[in-house]
Amino acid sequence: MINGLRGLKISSVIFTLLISIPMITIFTYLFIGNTENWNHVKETVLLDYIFNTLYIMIGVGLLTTLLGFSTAYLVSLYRFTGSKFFDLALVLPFAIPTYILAFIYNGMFGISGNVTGFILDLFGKNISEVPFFWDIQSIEGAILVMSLVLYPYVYLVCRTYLSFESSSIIEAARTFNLNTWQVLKKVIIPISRPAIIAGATLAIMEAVSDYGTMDYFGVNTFVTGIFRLWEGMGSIEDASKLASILMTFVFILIILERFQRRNKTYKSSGKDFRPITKIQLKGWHNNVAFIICFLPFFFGFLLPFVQLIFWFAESYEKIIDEDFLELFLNTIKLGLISAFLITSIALLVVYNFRLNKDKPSGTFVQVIKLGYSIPGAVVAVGILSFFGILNELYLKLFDNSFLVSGTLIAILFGYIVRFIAISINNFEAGFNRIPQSYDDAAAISGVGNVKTFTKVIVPLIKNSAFASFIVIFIEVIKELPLTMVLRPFDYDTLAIRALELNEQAQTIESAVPSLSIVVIAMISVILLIKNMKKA
Amino acid sequence: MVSVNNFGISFDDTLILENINFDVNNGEIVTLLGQSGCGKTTILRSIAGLQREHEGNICIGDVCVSSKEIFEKDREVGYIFQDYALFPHLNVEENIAFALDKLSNKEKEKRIVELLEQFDIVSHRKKQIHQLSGGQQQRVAIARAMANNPKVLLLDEPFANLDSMLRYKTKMWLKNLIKENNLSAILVTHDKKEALSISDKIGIINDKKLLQFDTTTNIYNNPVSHYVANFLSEINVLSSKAVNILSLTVKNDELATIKVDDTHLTNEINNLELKLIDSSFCGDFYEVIVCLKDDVENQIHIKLKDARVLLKPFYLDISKEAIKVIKK
Repeated sequence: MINGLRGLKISSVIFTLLISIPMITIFTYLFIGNTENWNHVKETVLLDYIFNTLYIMIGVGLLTTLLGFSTAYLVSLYRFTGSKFFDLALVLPFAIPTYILAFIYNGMFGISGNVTGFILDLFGKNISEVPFFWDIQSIEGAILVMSLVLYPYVYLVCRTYLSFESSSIIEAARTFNLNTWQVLKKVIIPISRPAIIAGATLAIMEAVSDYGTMDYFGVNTFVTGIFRLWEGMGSIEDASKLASILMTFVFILIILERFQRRNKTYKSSGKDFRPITKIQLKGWHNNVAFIICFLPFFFGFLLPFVQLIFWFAESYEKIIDEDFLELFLNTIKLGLISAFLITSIALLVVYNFRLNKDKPSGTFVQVIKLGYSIPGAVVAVGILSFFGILNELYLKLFDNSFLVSGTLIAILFGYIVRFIAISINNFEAGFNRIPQSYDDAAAISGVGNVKTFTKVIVPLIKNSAFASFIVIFIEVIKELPLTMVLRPFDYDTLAIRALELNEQAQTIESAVPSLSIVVIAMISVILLIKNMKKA
Repeated sequence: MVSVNNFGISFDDTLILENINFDVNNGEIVTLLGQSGCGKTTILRSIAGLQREHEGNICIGDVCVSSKEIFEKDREVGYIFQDYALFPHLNVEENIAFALDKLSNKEKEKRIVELLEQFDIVSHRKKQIHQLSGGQQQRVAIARAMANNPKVLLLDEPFANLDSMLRYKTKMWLKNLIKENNLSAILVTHDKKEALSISDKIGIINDKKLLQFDTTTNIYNNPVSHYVANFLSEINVLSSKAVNILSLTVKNDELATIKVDDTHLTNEINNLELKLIDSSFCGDFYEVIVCLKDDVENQIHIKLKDARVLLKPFYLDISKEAIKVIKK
């Protein structure tokens, strides 16, 4: 048994080291001297990157908070027309990757978009005759588009908090003769602050990591800069240096989020949370609540989804061929393999911590969890740099080179580094619900570790494993920058094909891969919600 | 028999317990009593082998289990967890069978039937755990703990989740079970009534130490310290003024105490005239708080059957024999 534990610990250490290597590699570039390319970047675009990234962080943070919190507040505390439907429907924008919404909205509301064209035709004017036209292909457009699909992060965290954890606090406030606005202002918003910030931080991290939207809308950010240096100038060192600055940026964000959360979790005093009693809304209150929930659902999911279906119907015959089926299968396979691998490694790491419960095992878990906060482009560049260093060493030692970059191994490695934190969070929550006394009872019963794992832990943790599998699957299917950098030559996924078609101004044709991604993700999101309700 | 010798344990350099010594004979029930977090459960976990890094020795029968690498399963202990630790995804039968892994299917089936009958849960055999009441769940937990015929039974707050009626019944039933099977049983609780009613011996733990370990009657009647006395029964500490009036000899490190049940009031005049601070009706009695007339700081608690005594000047009525001088 002791050997088994040691084996588990050793493999956990090996995985932690492997997973943290790209981060460490990137971090070292902070201290490496400047090249000519780098000096050029510093003098010309670095300030732009910093300003735009900050602007996006603030914009997405505010807009996702507004959309996510207002909808969570209404759905959690009130009953109104469609409130049950919105409970599920408001999560659906998760199924649409930011870049796909960008393609669709540009195709609809851009200068040559179909909706813009329709309105101009209606008034018999052309674009130059319009006194004011807001171009969606701008940084503000990017903020709007991203917020429409990232607000569910804030919605989900606040929804859980308001419905269960804070029910007694809110119900107590209602007894103090305060009106709805006073309860909202004096109690609900202050106690929800940690939940709002936690959700908004996740949305901001996603926005900062985005490549597809920024590239398509021509917004200069750190991530597009990393690509330009790597792809355009062929300089992995400079790309890594830029990535190291972005990583520092993200770490500051994490530290700020943790700092604000310190000592500020407001929970009911009871151990068992009781769901809050909802209030029925009537008259114009009911209509306003309906509209507030309908708008994000409409613009974040329904409208783009319907538009995709129309475009799909127009173009599928042109796009769906053997090549497309191959890349469709590639994407599914990549998603399934990654989800299986990541879920298995996360289970190993978290179970090791449960069994060993020592400080090093706890540190492993925390280190690995940092991966999710690091943008995909940074992880990709970190892996390329690391394999580059290994390759040079190998070349010196064996006079031969070995190729890992541009193989499926590199891509899977990238996904593990980037997404394992999601899986670990799932398992941590799952294991927290299994009392330690179950393990103890099994040990005293004389049952070995293997049987305890298979007969006790696995049946009790299977919902968390399923949730982890589905979430990773969705993330991998939607992932763009990391796949672009690390994929083998000529290896396409649905996401890459969608981007390529848009870059060639084939927005309508891009609906085929885009709708495929959305439908796969939507089915997965529904499966996930059903699993959450069952658990 | 279980022997715990010079037992001590620390977590992260914080000393939790030191120099703990006690024995539990076969057929004997020992209760470890102390406030929450004093380390009682840690002793149980160490005996069971769930906590193996500790100082001192733990012997079960003739085998010193802590001096050799003897794992949980080889210690012949049964453990009843406070939350019962019944696996929610297995039914009653499967929970019990879980402990019988080493037996053949035929032997396993035979033993399950024996246990189901012994613990009167035959009709619940196929039920899921959440379909059982608290008392039934506890019986399943005990059946599982007894499945491998342990020599030692360890019980961590076993009555905490039961209502008062069920608690009394279960206590008696468990006591008989331990005696009939000649088990060495160690029970952990913070409830003194529970400890007094079920145990042969009691150990009081406070401030990292086992303050007193003795038979139930001895520890109740002859507590070694104020803490032990106060923990097991309600006592009044007599003020120095009362001590002088009663001409008692009490050293600096000692206290003169009297049980609340032995403290009475009278209307007959003596030197100990009292003043009423508070009184409340508690059904069978009045709970009264009084003090010596010019000694307001030191309160005396009294349970009064008849409150009419308070209508006239009243005085403390205690017999010198009921006063116990104990260490501070």
